[in-house]
Amino acid sequence: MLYFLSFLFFFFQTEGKISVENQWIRNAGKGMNTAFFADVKNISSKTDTLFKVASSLAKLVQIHETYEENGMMGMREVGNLEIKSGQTLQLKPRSYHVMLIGLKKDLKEDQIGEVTLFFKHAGAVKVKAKVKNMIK
Amino acid sequence: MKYFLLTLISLVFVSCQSKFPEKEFVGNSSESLCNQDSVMVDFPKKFNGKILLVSFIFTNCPDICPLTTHNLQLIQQKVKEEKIGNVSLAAISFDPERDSPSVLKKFAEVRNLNLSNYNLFSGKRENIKSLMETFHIVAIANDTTFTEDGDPVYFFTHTDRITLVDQDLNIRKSYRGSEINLEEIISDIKNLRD
Repeated sequence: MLYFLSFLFFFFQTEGKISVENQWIRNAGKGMNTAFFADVKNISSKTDTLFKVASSLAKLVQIHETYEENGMMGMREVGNLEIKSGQTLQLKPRSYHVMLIGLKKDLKEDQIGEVTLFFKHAGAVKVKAKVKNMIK
Repeated sequence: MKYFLLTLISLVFVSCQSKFPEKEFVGNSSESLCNQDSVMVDFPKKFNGKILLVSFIFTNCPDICPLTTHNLQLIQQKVKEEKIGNVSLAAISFDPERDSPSVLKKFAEVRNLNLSNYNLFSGKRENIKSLMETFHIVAIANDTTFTEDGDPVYFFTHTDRITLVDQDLNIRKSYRGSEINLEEIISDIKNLRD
Protein backbone atom coordinates (compact mmCIF):
# COMPACT_ATOMS: atom_id res chain seq x y z
CA MET A 1 0.00 0.00 0.00
CA LEU A 2 2.85 2.34 0.93
CA TYR A 3 4.52 1.68 -2.43
CA PHE A 4 1.27 2.37 -4.24
CA LEU A 5 0.83 5.68 -2.43
CA SER A 6 4.45 6.62 -3.15
CA PHE A 7 3.87 5.81 -6.80
CA LEU A 8 0.84 8.10 -6.90
CA PHE A 9 2.81 10.80 -5.11
CA PHE A 10 5.64 10.79 -7.64
CA PHE A 11 3.51 10.61 -10.73
CA PHE A 12 0.73 13.04 -9.87
CA GLN A 13 1.47 15.84 -7.46
CA THR A 14 -1.29 18.35 -6.90
CA GLU A 15 -1.03 21.30 -4.63
CA GLY A 16 -3.96 23.70 -4.56
CA LYS A 17 -4.70 24.85 -8.05
CA ILE A 18 -1.68 23.47 -9.85
CA SER A 19 -0.97 19.86 -10.77
CA VAL A 20 2.48 18.67 -11.74
CA GLU A 21 2.96 15.45 -13.69
CA ASN A 22 5.75 13.59 -15.52
CA GLN A 23 8.43 15.48 -13.62
CA TRP A 24 12.07 14.46 -13.93
CA ILE A 25 15.58 15.86 -13.60
CA ARG A 26 18.35 15.06 -16.08
CA ASN A 27 21.38 13.37 -14.50
CA ALA A 28 24.58 15.40 -14.15
CA GLY A 29 27.68 15.63 -12.00
CA LYS A 30 28.51 17.91 -9.08
CA GLY A 31 29.40 21.43 -10.21
CA MET A 32 27.65 20.99 -13.56
CA ASN A 33 24.31 22.32 -14.77
CA THR A 34 21.16 20.42 -15.53
CA ALA A 35 17.42 20.88 -15.93
CA PHE A 36 14.09 19.97 -14.34
CA PHE A 37 11.20 19.08 -16.65
CA ALA A 38 7.48 18.55 -15.97
CA ASP A 39 3.94 19.10 -17.21
CA VAL A 40 2.50 21.91 -15.09
CA LYS A 41 -1.27 22.16 -15.34
CA ASN A 42 -3.37 25.04 -14.09
CA ILE A 43 -6.52 23.39 -12.73
CA SER A 44 -7.93 26.57 -11.23
CA SER A 45 -10.54 28.81 -12.85
CA LYS A 46 -8.16 31.73 -13.45
CA THR A 47 -4.83 32.36 -15.12
CA ASP A 48 -1.79 31.77 -12.93
CA THR A 49 1.86 32.71 -13.41
CA LEU A 50 5.07 30.82 -12.65
CA PHE A 51 7.40 33.60 -11.53
CA LYS A 52 10.16 31.96 -9.50
CA VAL A 53 11.83 28.59 -8.97
CA ALA A 54 14.07 27.31 -6.18
CA SER A 55 15.93 24.17 -5.19
CA SER A 56 18.59 23.22 -2.68
CA LEU A 57 20.17 21.00 -5.35
CA ALA A 58 21.97 23.88 -7.08
CA LYS A 59 23.66 27.21 -6.41
CA LEU A 60 21.44 29.08 -8.84
CA VAL A 61 17.98 28.14 -10.13
CA GLN A 62 16.27 29.94 -13.00
CA ILE A 63 13.45 29.56 -15.51
CA HIS A 64 15.02 29.18 -18.95
CA GLU A 65 14.05 28.50 -22.50
CA THR A 66 16.02 26.83 -25.25
CA TYR A 67 15.58 28.65 -28.55
CA GLU A 68 16.68 28.27 -32.14
CA GLU A 69 17.92 31.21 -34.16
CA ASN A 70 19.61 31.11 -37.56
CA GLY A 71 20.26 27.38 -37.20
CA MET A 72 21.94 27.84 -33.81
CA MET A 73 20.65 26.68 -30.44
CA GLY A 74 20.81 28.94 -27.41
CA MET A 75 19.37 29.42 -23.97
CA ARG A 76 18.10 32.44 -22.12
CA GLU A 77 16.46 33.22 -18.83
CA VAL A 78 12.78 34.04 -19.07
CA GLY A 79 10.72 35.99 -16.58
CA ASN A 80 7.14 35.03 -15.88
CA LEU A 81 5.40 32.14 -17.57
CA GLU A 82 1.63 32.52 -17.72
CA ILE A 83 -0.61 29.44 -17.63
CA LYS A 84 -4.23 29.99 -18.55
CA SER A 85 -7.00 28.13 -16.74
CA GLY A 86 -7.12 24.49 -17.84
CA GLN A 87 -3.87 24.77 -19.81
CA THR A 88 -0.60 22.93 -19.33
CA LEU A 89 2.86 24.45 -19.39
CA GLN A 90 5.26 21.86 -20.71
CA LEU A 91 8.74 22.13 -19.25
CA LYS A 92 10.56 19.85 -21.67
CA PRO A 93 13.85 19.35 -23.52
CA ARG A 94 14.50 21.91 -26.30
CA SER A 95 11.91 24.24 -24.72
CA TYR A 96 11.12 25.83 -21.34
CA HIS A 97 12.84 24.23 -18.36
CA VAL A 98 13.99 24.93 -14.82
CA MET A 99 17.76 25.42 -14.91
CA LEU A 100 19.77 24.00 -12.02
CA ILE A 101 23.10 25.81 -12.23
CA GLY A 102 26.11 24.59 -10.26
CA LEU A 103 24.90 21.30 -8.77
CA LYS A 104 25.93 20.80 -5.14
CA LYS A 105 26.20 17.02 -5.58
CA ASP A 106 26.07 14.36 -8.27
CA LEU A 107 22.58 13.63 -9.52
CA LYS A 108 22.58 10.00 -10.61
CA GLU A 109 19.77 7.97 -12.12
CA ASP A 110 16.93 7.02 -9.73
CA GLN A 111 17.85 9.57 -7.07
CA ILE A 112 15.10 11.95 -6.00
CA GLY A 113 15.45 15.73 -6.03
CA GLU A 114 13.09 18.49 -4.97
CA VAL A 115 12.25 21.69 -6.84
CA THR A 116 9.84 24.40 -5.69
CA LEU A 117 7.75 26.31 -8.22
CA PHE A 118 6.29 29.67 -7.12
CA PHE A 119 2.98 30.84 -8.60
CA LYS A 120 1.26 34.19 -8.16
CA HIS A 121 -2.00 32.57 -7.04
CA ALA A 122 -1.25 28.96 -6.09
CA GLY A 123 1.83 29.95 -4.10
CA ALA A 124 4.75 27.60 -3.57
CA VAL A 125 4.42 24.11 -5.06
CA LYS A 126 7.06 21.63 -3.95
CA VAL A 127 7.74 18.86 -6.46
CA LYS A 128 9.79 15.71 -5.95
CA ALA A 129 11.29 14.37 -9.16
CA LYS A 130 13.26 11.32 -10.16
CA VAL A 131 16.68 11.73 -11.78
CA LYS A 132 16.80 10.13 -15.21
CA ASN A 133 19.21 9.94 -18.09
CA MET A 134 16.57 10.73 -20.67
CA ILE A 135 12.92 9.99 -21.16
CA LYS A 136 12.97 6.50 -22.58
CA MET B 1 11.42 1.36 -74.39
CA LYS B 2 14.46 3.59 -74.98
CA TYR B 3 12.88 6.44 -73.00
CA PHE B 4 11.90 4.04 -70.23
CA LEU B 5 15.49 2.80 -69.90
CA LEU B 6 16.89 6.33 -69.97
CA THR B 7 14.45 7.39 -67.25
CA LEU B 8 15.33 4.33 -65.17
CA ILE B 9 19.08 4.98 -65.50
CA SER B 10 18.56 8.66 -64.59
CA LEU B 11 16.52 7.71 -61.54
CA VAL B 12 19.18 5.26 -60.34
CA PHE B 13 21.88 7.90 -60.93
CA VAL B 14 19.95 10.62 -59.07
CA SER B 15 19.14 8.21 -56.23
CA CYS B 16 22.82 7.27 -55.80
CA GLN B 17 23.89 10.91 -55.89
CA SER B 18 21.35 12.07 -53.31
CA LYS B 19 22.36 9.54 -50.66
CA PHE B 20 25.30 11.72 -49.68
CA PRO B 21 25.01 15.29 -50.85
CA GLU B 22 28.35 16.31 -49.32
CA LYS B 23 31.92 15.18 -49.91
CA GLU B 24 34.48 17.39 -48.24
CA PHE B 25 37.91 16.08 -47.31
CA VAL B 26 38.91 16.99 -43.75
CA GLY B 27 42.07 14.90 -43.41
CA ASN B 28 44.35 17.85 -44.20
CA SER B 29 43.32 19.78 -41.12
CA SER B 30 44.07 17.28 -38.38
CA GLU B 31 44.74 18.63 -34.89
CA SER B 32 46.02 17.25 -31.62
CA LEU B 33 43.25 16.61 -29.07
CA CYS B 34 43.19 15.02 -25.64
CA ASN B 35 40.52 12.46 -24.73
CA GLN B 36 38.81 11.75 -21.39
CA ASP B 37 41.73 9.47 -20.39
CA SER B 38 44.29 12.18 -21.25
CA VAL B 39 45.39 10.26 -24.34
CA MET B 40 46.58 12.54 -27.15
CA VAL B 41 44.96 11.87 -30.51
CA ASP B 42 45.56 13.35 -33.94
CA PHE B 43 42.00 14.20 -34.96
CA PRO B 44 40.48 13.20 -37.35
CA LYS B 45 43.49 11.37 -38.89
CA LYS B 46 43.45 8.82 -36.06
CA PHE B 47 40.07 7.66 -37.39
CA ASN B 48 41.19 7.14 -40.98
CA GLY B 49 39.62 3.88 -42.18
CA LYS B 50 36.66 4.16 -39.80
CA ILE B 51 33.18 5.62 -40.14
CA LEU B 52 33.08 8.51 -37.71
CA LEU B 53 30.25 10.50 -36.16
CA VAL B 54 31.38 13.83 -34.72
CA SER B 55 29.63 16.43 -32.60
CA PHE B 56 30.81 19.55 -30.78
CA ILE B 57 29.48 20.13 -27.26
CA PHE B 58 30.13 21.74 -23.87
CA THR B 59 29.48 19.75 -20.70
CA ASN B 60 27.91 22.66 -18.81
CA CYS B 61 25.09 22.69 -21.35
CA PRO B 62 21.92 21.52 -19.57
CA ASP B 63 19.72 20.77 -22.56
CA ILE B 64 20.98 20.48 -26.15
CA CYS B 65 24.42 18.89 -25.64
CA PRO B 66 23.17 16.12 -23.29
CA LEU B 67 20.58 15.30 -25.98
CA THR B 68 23.33 15.15 -28.60
CA THR B 69 25.66 12.97 -26.52
CA HIS B 70 22.69 10.74 -25.70
CA ASN B 71 21.86 10.48 -29.40
CA LEU B 72 25.43 9.41 -30.11
CA GLN B 73 24.90 6.77 -27.43
CA LEU B 74 21.72 5.59 -29.20
CA ILE B 75 23.63 5.35 -32.50
CA GLN B 76 26.38 3.39 -30.73
CA GLN B 77 23.86 0.94 -29.27
CA LYS B 78 22.09 0.44 -32.61
CA VAL B 79 25.38 -0.08 -34.43
CA LYS B 80 26.28 -2.74 -31.87
CA GLU B 81 22.86 -4.43 -32.11
CA GLU B 82 23.14 -4.59 -35.90
CA LYS B 83 26.74 -5.84 -35.64
CA ILE B 84 28.10 -3.01 -37.80
CA GLY B 85 31.84 -2.77 -37.17
CA ASN B 86 34.38 -0.02 -37.69
CA VAL B 87 32.27 2.87 -36.37
CA SER B 88 33.61 5.48 -33.93
CA LEU B 89 31.93 8.37 -32.16
CA ALA B 90 33.42 11.63 -30.94
CA ALA B 91 32.17 14.59 -28.96
CA ILE B 92 34.60 17.53 -28.95
CA SER B 93 34.25 20.28 -26.35
CA PHE B 94 34.28 23.88 -27.60
CA ASP B 95 34.73 24.92 -23.96
CA PRO B 96 38.18 23.41 -23.30
CA GLU B 97 39.02 25.83 -20.45
CA ARG B 98 36.31 24.19 -18.31
CA ASP B 99 36.13 20.79 -19.99
CA SER B 100 39.37 19.21 -18.88
CA PRO B 101 39.88 15.46 -19.44
CA SER B 102 38.78 14.75 -15.83
CA VAL B 103 35.57 16.77 -16.34
CA LEU B 104 34.90 14.84 -19.55
CA LYS B 105 35.55 11.57 -17.70
CA LYS B 106 33.05 12.52 -15.00
CA PHE B 107 30.51 13.57 -17.65
CA ALA B 108 30.84 10.10 -19.21
CA GLU B 109 30.65 8.28 -15.87
CA VAL B 110 27.47 10.01 -14.71
CA ARG B 111 25.82 9.08 -18.00
CA ASN B 112 27.21 5.54 -18.15
CA LEU B 113 28.71 6.17 -21.56
CA ASN B 114 30.36 3.15 -23.15
CA LEU B 115 33.77 4.52 -24.11
CA SER B 116 34.93 1.52 -26.14
CA ASN B 117 34.44 3.41 -29.43
CA TYR B 118 33.16 6.73 -28.07
CA ASN B 119 35.62 9.49 -27.13
CA LEU B 120 35.09 12.86 -25.51
CA PHE B 121 37.78 15.35 -26.50
CA SER B 122 39.28 18.52 -25.12
CA GLY B 123 42.44 20.29 -26.28
CA LYS B 124 44.14 23.59 -26.90
CA ARG B 125 41.79 26.42 -27.80
CA GLU B 126 43.53 27.07 -31.16
CA ASN B 127 43.32 23.39 -32.17
CA ILE B 128 39.63 23.21 -31.35
CA LYS B 129 38.98 26.50 -33.15
CA SER B 130 40.65 25.10 -36.26
CA LEU B 131 38.53 21.92 -36.12
CA MET B 132 35.37 23.94 -35.61
CA GLU B 133 36.14 25.83 -38.81
CA THR B 134 36.80 22.57 -40.63
CA PHE B 135 33.50 21.09 -39.43
CA HIS B 136 31.57 24.38 -39.90
CA ILE B 137 30.68 24.75 -36.22
CA VAL B 138 29.98 28.05 -34.49
CA ALA B 139 29.80 28.56 -30.72
CA ILE B 140 29.36 32.02 -29.21
CA ALA B 141 29.70 32.52 -25.46
CA ASN B 142 26.85 34.46 -23.87
CA ASP B 143 27.21 37.07 -21.13
CA THR B 144 28.66 35.83 -17.86
CA THR B 145 26.62 35.98 -14.64
CA PHE B 146 27.74 34.90 -11.19
CA THR B 147 26.34 32.62 -8.48
CA GLU B 148 26.18 33.88 -4.87
CA ASP B 149 29.57 32.21 -4.33
CA GLY B 150 31.02 34.25 -7.16
CA ASP B 151 31.29 31.33 -9.58
CA PRO B 152 31.01 32.50 -13.17
CA VAL B 153 28.10 31.11 -15.20
CA TYR B 154 28.03 31.33 -18.96
CA PHE B 155 26.53 29.35 -21.78
CA PHE B 156 26.97 29.14 -25.53
CA THR B 157 24.73 29.67 -28.49
CA HIS B 158 25.97 26.99 -30.82
CA THR B 159 25.51 24.80 -33.87
CA ASP B 160 23.46 21.70 -33.14
CA ARG B 161 24.97 19.03 -35.35
CA ILE B 162 26.24 15.48 -35.75
CA THR B 163 28.52 15.04 -38.77
CA LEU B 164 29.08 11.79 -40.62
CA VAL B 165 32.65 11.25 -41.85
CA ASP B 166 33.52 8.37 -44.17
CA GLN B 167 36.50 5.98 -44.05
CA ASP B 168 38.56 8.33 -46.23
CA LEU B 169 38.00 11.32 -43.94
CA ASN B 170 35.37 13.02 -46.09
CA ILE B 171 32.39 14.75 -44.49
CA ARG B 172 29.43 13.04 -46.14
CA LYS B 173 26.34 14.26 -44.29
CA SER B 174 25.23 16.40 -41.36
CA TYR B 175 22.27 15.88 -39.05
CA ARG B 176 20.70 17.86 -36.26
CA GLY B 177 22.41 16.68 -33.07
CA SER B 178 19.70 17.03 -30.45
CA GLU B 179 16.93 15.42 -32.53
CA ILE B 180 17.82 12.52 -34.77
CA ASN B 181 16.22 10.04 -37.11
CA LEU B 182 18.12 6.98 -35.91
CA GLU B 183 17.03 4.81 -38.85
CA GLU B 184 18.30 7.39 -41.36
CA ILE B 185 21.72 7.54 -39.71
CA ILE B 186 22.05 3.77 -39.47
CA SER B 187 21.02 3.44 -43.10
CA ASP B 188 23.67 6.03 -44.08
CA ILE B 189 26.32 4.19 -42.06
CA LYS B 190 25.42 0.95 -43.84
CA ASN B 191 25.62 2.69 -47.22
CA LEU B 192 29.10 3.96 -46.42
CA ARG B 193 30.18 0.52 -45.32
CA ASP B 194 28.96 -1.15 -48.54
